[in-house]
Amino acid sequence: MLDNMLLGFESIMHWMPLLAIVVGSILGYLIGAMPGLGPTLGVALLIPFTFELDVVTSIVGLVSLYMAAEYGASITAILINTPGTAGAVATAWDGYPMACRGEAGKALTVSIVSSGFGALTSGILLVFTATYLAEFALYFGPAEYFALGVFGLSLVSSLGGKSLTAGAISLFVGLLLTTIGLDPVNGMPRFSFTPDLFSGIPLIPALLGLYAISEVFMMIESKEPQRKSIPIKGILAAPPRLFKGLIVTIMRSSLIGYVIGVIPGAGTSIASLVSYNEAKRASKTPEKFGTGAIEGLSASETANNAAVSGALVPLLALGIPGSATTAVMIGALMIHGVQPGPMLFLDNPEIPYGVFAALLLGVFVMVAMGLLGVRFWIKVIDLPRPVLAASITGICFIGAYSDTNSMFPIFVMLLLGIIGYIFRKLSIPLAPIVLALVLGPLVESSFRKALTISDGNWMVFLQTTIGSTLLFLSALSFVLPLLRSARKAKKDNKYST
Amino acid sequence: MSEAPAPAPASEGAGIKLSASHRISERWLAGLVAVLLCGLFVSWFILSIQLPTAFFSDGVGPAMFPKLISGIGAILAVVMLVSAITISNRIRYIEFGKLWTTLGFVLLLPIYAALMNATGFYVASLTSLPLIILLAGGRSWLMLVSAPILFCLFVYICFEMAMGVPVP
Repeated sequence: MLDNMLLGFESIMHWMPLLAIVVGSILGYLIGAMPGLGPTLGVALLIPFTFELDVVTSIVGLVSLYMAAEYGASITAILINTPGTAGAVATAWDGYPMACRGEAGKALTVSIVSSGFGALTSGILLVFTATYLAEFALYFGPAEYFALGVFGLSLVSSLGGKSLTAGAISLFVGLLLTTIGLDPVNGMPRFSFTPDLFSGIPLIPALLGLYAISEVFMMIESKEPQRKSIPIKGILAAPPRLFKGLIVTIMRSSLIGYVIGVIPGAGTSIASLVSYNEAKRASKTPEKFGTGAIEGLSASETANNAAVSGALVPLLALGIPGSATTAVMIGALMIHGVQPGPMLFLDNPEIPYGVFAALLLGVFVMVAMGLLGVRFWIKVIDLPRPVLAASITGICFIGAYSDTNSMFPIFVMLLLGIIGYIFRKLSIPLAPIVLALVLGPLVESSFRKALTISDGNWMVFLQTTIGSTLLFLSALSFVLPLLRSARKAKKDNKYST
Repeated sequence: MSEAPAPAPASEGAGIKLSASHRISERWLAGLVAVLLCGLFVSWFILSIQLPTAFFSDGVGPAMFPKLISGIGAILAVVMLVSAITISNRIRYIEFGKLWTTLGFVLLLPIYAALMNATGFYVASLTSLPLIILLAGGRSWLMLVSAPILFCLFVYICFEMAMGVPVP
C-alpha cells in the first residue's frame, strides 16, 4: 500500500498533473457556482481537452474539477440562495440566512474549510478502504435502495419545520411531482401531458424555481434595508477557534458522506441531507438549524465533498459509476484505453493511486483558492438588491435552459417558483419537496423491483441486515422528533397552567 | 426551518398599518391553497385509476404509487383545510409587501421566457432585466442601463466564450 501511494504521488509530481489539478479546481469552482451546470456537465466539457494528455493527468484534472465543483455550488447557495447542485441545497438552508445577516464571509469560510476537511478525511479513508468498501456497495439491491430512500424521506419529521402537516403536505406535493414522466419500471408515460414531460420534472430547474425564483419574489417585496457584508480582516473570515467546536460535526459528516457516496446512485444530495439531519439531531440547539446554524452549514458541506471520494470507490474498484459524474469519467478512462475495475489496481496502480494522491493534494489547492476567493465572492452580495434580483433571474433562466437546451424547463422553473413563493408565505417548508424530488424515484422504482424479484413477498425488505437496519432507523428517525415535540408541548402546557 | 418571514403578528388592536389590499388573512390563503391542493390530489387519483395495475412482470404496476401518494395527499389537504377553518380566534395576516409589484413580476416572468424563445437570451434580457430592476426598487438610470449590459457581457464571456455553454 505504501509503495503504491508513493508511486501515486510520484506520478502526479510533474508540472502537467499539477497544472491539471489547478486548472481543474478553477474550472470546477466556476462551473459549480453556475446553477444548472454542475460537475457532470463540467467533466463532460473538459473531456475533449484531455485527449492529447496522458491518462493520469486527464483523470486527475477531472477529479479536481469534480471536487471543486461540489464546493463551488455552495457559493451561490450561500450568497443568493441558489444551490448550484442538489448537493448544496442543505447548504443554503443555513448559509443563506448567515449571508443575509452580513456573515457571508464567515459562511463561505466555514463552507470551504469544512469541504476541505471532508475531502481530506474521505481521501484518506479512500486510500485504506477502497477495495473493501467496494464489496459493501455490491450488497445494495433494490430492497436496500428502497430502505435507503425511506430513511431519507423520514428526515421530513425533523426538516419539515414546526408543523408536521405542513411538512407532510410539502413532501407529498414533491412525491406527486415525481410520478410525472415515464414509469421507472416499464416505461409507459404517466401524467405526461406533453412529450417534454416524459423524462419527468427536471431536478435542477425545480430547485432553481423553488429556492432562487421564490427568493427573487421575496427580494422584490422586501422593505427591509439591505445588510452589507461584514468586512474581512485577516486571511480567515471565521476565527480558527470556531472550528474547534465543529470537529465532531465534521468527522461525523465526513464518514456519512463517504459511506453514502460509495453507494452507487446515492450521490452528494442524499449525503448532505442525511448529514444535515444527523447534525441537527446531535446539536444542543436544533431550533437554530435553518436560521443560520454553523453546524448545519458545516455538516452539509463536509458530507457533499466527502461523497465525491466515496463515489470514486465503485468507479475505480468495480468499474461501476457511483454518480452521474463518475459515469462520465468512465467514458474518459475508456477513451484512454483504461478499464476501471479490480484489475486496475494490479495492472496500472499508478492510475488509482495517482487519483488518491491528487485528491489529497488537490484539497489544499481547493481550500487555498477558496479562502482567497472569499473576499471577492462577498462583493456579490453587496450588489444593490434590484441588481441581484435581476441577475439571479437571468442566471436561473440560463441554468434551467442548460438542463436540456430547451425552453420547457424554464416554464417548469417559473411555475415552481410561484409555488415556492406561496409556500414560503404560508410557512410551508420547501425542504421536504427537495427530499421527495431526490428520493421519490428511487423509492418507487426500487420498491417495485424488489417486489418483482421476490415474487410479491413483502418480507424482502426485512430479510437483509442493511435493509432492516435502515428501515428501523427510518422508523426512529420519523417517530423520535414527534415524541420530542409532543413532550415539549406537554411541558409548555404544564408550565402555562 | 424558517424559510419564509413569519406571518404578520395577530391583529390585537394595534395591528399592522397596511392597507387591507396588501394583507391577506392566513386562514383565507391557507384555506384556498388547501382546496387547490385537495383538487390536485383528487384529480391525480382519478387519473391514476386509468393507469394499468399489475402487469405480468410487474407485480405492483404503475398505478399504485400515484394512487397512494394522491390518496394520502388529499387527506393531508383536508386536514390543512380543517385546521385553517378551525384556527384559533387570533387572526393572523400574511403581508404581501408590494402586492402589485409582485403580481407584475409574476406577469413579467413568462413574458421574459416567451421573449427569450422568440428573440434569444441577450435581447430578452436587455429588455426584461431593466423591468425587473425597476420592480425591485431600482430607480437610477445608471443601474437600469449598465447592470443588464454588464450581466449580458458576463454571461457571454463566462458561458459562451469560456465554457462553450449555449444560452437560449
